[in-house]
Amino acid sequence: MNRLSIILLSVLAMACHSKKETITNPADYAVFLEINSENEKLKLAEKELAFWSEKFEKSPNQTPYLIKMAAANNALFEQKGDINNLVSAENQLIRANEMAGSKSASQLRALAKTHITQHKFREALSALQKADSLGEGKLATQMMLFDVNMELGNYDKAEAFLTGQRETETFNYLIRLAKWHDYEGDTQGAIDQLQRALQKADEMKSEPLKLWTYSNLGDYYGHVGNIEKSYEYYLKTLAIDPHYDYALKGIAWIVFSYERNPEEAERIIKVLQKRHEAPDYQLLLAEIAEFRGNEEAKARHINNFLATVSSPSYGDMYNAYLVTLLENEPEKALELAKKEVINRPTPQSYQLLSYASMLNGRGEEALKLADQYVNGKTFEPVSLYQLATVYKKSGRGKEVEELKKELMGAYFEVGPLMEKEIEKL
Amino acid sequence: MKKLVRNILGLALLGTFALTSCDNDNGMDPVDNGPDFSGTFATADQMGRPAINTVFVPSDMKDNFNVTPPSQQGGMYATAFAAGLKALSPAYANDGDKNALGLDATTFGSVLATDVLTVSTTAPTTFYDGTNVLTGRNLADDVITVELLLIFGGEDFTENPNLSDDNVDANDKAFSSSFPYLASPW
Repeated sequence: MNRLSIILLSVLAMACHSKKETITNPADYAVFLEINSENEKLKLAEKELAFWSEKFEKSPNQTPYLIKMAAANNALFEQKGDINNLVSAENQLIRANEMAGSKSASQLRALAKTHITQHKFREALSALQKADSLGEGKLATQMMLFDVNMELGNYDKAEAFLTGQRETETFNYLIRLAKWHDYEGDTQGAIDQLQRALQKADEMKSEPLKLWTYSNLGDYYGHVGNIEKSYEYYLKTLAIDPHYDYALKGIAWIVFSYERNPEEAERIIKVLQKRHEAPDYQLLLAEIAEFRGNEEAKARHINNFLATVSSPSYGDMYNAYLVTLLENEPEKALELAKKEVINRPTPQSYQLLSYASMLNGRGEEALKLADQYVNGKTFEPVSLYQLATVYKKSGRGKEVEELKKELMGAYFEVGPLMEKEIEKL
Repeated sequence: MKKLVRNILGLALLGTFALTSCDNDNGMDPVDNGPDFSGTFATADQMGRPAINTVFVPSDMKDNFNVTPPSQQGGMYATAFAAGLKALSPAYANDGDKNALGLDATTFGSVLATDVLTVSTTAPTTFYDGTNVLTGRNLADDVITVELLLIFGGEDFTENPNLSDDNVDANDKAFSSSFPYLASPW
């Protein structure tokens, strides 16, 4: 079943019971909000960084120490969200690769992984191509090349890799097959593959792989409107690692978007904010504030977000968000959208460019971009909504109606504010 | 929910986990605590003598070497190993150079390329004890230094003294007196 029919089905399902039941229960997750236990992963990463930094200071010709320091910095970024850790990891890996003359495939893959986190996909691609030509660990390199090609919109190359694989019963293959199904708009297919991948993770008794798969299933079940399952998988994630904040953020979204309980959602997010510095929380708080009609708080959160991500350390990581936030600075929005298209020429990026063109009064250009690069090429609800606004401005009522129908099934995913906007389309 | 950084980040991370081994923890099942041998197993890595694969197998041959049965390694990789020896070691820089076993680059390369731990059923078990060479391996043997001596030490172990000793003479922790005899990692 593809994403469209799922969306239609869930529209029907929702029509049957307009009053949304409460699925979450604070008693289920209170224990994860109030944890006093130390974050073991954080503690270990801090110790690792101190240990290897000290060794490196004494022997600055040792690339393995640099690699260890970078790994610890990456882990710290994951746990705390401090961008400086990510930048340090990048610098250490660049230096290590320079010292090794870019002759180590595993070091190049490590650099690519950090570049992916930074949304420097072109740099990641270049590191992976070097690793691929060296040969060692070719399959691991090719898996990452698939990931980067998906981000860069090189879908033909990504598909060629998938169809060229003979060993298809592995965790690493299955999660990429899931990603491919999602790209094609077949969310149920993505869930099916993730469930198969979960079996592999279970067989391997791998905690990190289970955490990753559970939390992704939490997201995907939400996308198909199965909120109970989504909640269940977020709780399963937390049962393994109470410090896995991403799952709590997912629960906060259910509380806000599905149950329409902004107070409780805000309470969860504010706890998470104390643990983790991700600027994303500011955006979520801004959305919640707007929903509650608190314009002052909304402006404050957006300003906090803008102030944070305008630091050069973030590079282009948040460009996609910035474009949509810069309604009052259309020229800057257009500039960032152009940059985003160069960084990753995907249908979503072209949609941003189309939207920014419209903001600047270039309706014809916006429409041309939408027709050529976006329509029929992505199923991301936010992109589809923007596409609909471009069509609406251009008087293309038939397309607007079609998109509106599709978007009605994605209300949970896009949230209550965008729901109102979609209804106005 | 917007999922800007999320999906790909995890996927990429997992790319580096391709060949991890499995933990055998989880005591949920009270009956079967043994390892699970179901499924199809495949060779992922091979290491007969410490560091030899790491150093001598060129990057572009590494994946294949790791899945080649040892019986075929000598034939397939001897040339690459010999080239590696000549490129790395000043003790093999000139034609006719040999190591303390009397092996020239080509012969020693072919010995090393079959990456197995040789064991003599008659001689004392040791990596090198002053008399016996590569007749087995004891935990306390200074394996890396012996390998360095055979690669860099020349005909009588006296060449390139700076390259032929790792300067680690013993484990930092006492070995255990019972199986598996290794010291605990922490």
